[in-house]
Amino acid sequence: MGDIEAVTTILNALGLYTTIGAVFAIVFLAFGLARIDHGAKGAGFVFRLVILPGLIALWPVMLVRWIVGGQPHGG
Amino acid sequence: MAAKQSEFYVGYLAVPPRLKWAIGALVILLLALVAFDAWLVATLQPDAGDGRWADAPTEFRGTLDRTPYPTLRVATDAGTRTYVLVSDEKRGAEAVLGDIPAGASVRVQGYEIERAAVGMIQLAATDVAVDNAPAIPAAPLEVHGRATIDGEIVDSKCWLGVMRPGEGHIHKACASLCIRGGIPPMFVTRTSDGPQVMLLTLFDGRPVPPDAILDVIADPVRLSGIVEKHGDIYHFKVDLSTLARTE
Amino acid sequence: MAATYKPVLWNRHKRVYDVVIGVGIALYLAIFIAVGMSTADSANTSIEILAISALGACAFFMLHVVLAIGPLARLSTTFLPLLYNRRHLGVSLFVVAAAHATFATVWYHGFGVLNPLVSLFVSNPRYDAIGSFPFESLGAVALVILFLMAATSHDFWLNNLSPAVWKTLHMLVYIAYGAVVLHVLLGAASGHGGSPLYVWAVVVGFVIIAGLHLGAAIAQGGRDRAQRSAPKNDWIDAGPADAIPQRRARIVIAPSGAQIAIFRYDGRVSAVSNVCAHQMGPLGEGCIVDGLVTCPWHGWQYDPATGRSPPPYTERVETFNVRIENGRILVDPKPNAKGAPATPAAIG
Repeated sequence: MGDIEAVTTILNALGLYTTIGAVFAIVFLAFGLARIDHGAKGAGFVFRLVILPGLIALWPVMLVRWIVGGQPHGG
Repeated sequence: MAAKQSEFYVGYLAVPPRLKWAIGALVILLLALVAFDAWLVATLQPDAGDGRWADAPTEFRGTLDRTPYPTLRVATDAGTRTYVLVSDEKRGAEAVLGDIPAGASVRVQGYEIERAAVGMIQLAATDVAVDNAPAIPAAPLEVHGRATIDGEIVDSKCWLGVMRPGEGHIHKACASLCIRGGIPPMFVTRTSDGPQVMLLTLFDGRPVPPDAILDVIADPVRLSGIVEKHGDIYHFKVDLSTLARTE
Repeated sequence: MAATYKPVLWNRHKRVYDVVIGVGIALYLAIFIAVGMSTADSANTSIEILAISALGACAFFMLHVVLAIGPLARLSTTFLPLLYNRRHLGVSLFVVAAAHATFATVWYHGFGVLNPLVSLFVSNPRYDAIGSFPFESLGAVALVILFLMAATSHDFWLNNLSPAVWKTLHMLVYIAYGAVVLHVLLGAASGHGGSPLYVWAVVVGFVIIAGLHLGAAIAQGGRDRAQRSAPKNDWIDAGPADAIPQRRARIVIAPSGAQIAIFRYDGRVSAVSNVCAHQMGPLGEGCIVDGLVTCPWHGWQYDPATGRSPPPYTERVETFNVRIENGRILVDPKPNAKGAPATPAAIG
């Protein structure tokens, strides 16, 4: 059935997006975090865990911010 | 600190005494609402039916039938009993039965499922032992004639007792999966004596292809066909061109 | 406030808040399952299905509480303590909703010949029907929104997405609410064995939430009208200085629409933007604590004369110039830069 194929394709695309997000999140937490947000300097492991799901979901936004070299709001 | 701020709340400072009472009252009110809502919604749950699904497997001996769906004729004190056969999870029994022919005498281990006087066995093991016990004769066939009936197409396994409730549109997706997986479809109709359930077949007695009914499973429908009684189990042999939703 | 991020800035109130959330959830599930198992119709319900229903109903109830807190806090300051830690309630709501969704997906869509996630979207194919629209998809939409909100609940996201984007993202909760209302109406509340009372319960919940939002909007509109000054290019007359209670503020609205909070403290007045740099909370509804303007929402603080958060924090809001003539406060509607000092005016 066409429906099954369409839904499978969308889910596979979502899976790919999430996988890229997971890889990005790890790299970002290791190298990018302190650079784009001074508030994150010295922040601990649990803090990184707290923002991890958001990084995986919103990785394109954070990738752009990393490239542009965003500064923290109000900082 | 903010000792004089009579009612102003700052999360990281001590709560002003008057506000403390207000918050306490608020929390108690909220928990009372929690209790009320939980009670109210719990009393609004749908009728789960009186289906039964045995916790432990038992042994059944009988004569195998393969059409229209796999069934087992078992001799009991009350006469011949027909059990619909299914496999575990959302799968029919065909794969487990392999090429054991209709009419073979078999011994199976299975979990008994029962509702509305219809019995089912969920096969517990993948090996079905064939023996040479004498075959139990097929039950007499009674033709009840043509009928147009309002009801719902369900998957037999869930409806008979595995999912309680196992009908209605909340269960639609599960019923579709079961029927896709080879679980025999049944037709349930409401009567004043409670639900009546019949195995659903094509007009010529063959099994219903899942794709022909997937869209309307669990919806209120009207169907025309012939009602037959095979021993202790009803068959509804339908003309699918008459299938129509009634909602 | 953003010095160095912590996973959670724990304090006693948040702990108490979280204990209340935990007790509330446990109470809800326990009562629901106990009542479900002892009611004649549903006594034979599979325990798994009862648990799925209990989790779903609990999440729906929590969503109402989350949505009610905002307008309640606008209507009465007594409710501000509920607002203070609302994000923990939001994250808990997501966890309960996710548990409901996971169990329902495994139970109804698992163990079959299709991938459970594929089954979730194709097994109920009536996307062209209104009354029988697949309620599963609506639940999935709401869960994605609740996930995005929970995942971005830390102030890190507020800073990195910018407060405006963050606020917009979190406004999606109203889309989620709409989707969940339909999810419940088309799912649990209708069809076989669905009770009309269930539909009414959903309607009552909707009326309460809509009514509270309407009431808060009307109350806010009334306040805004009372505070709006005559449109003049020059300084705004903000009324007599004595009329502002000690350590409190009066909010005036400039012709440009800018909201100005004028605080009275220690025999002086200062004016800052009414909009907190954190989540745009109404600073003018806060008060001066330890010499600092303190936001009523989450307690963020600013020096009234400079608009700056005390070190090590770095937040800034705009200041406004003020003077006092004949006991009346005059405020310049042109804002100074964020964090620019403005000399307080002494009350005669």
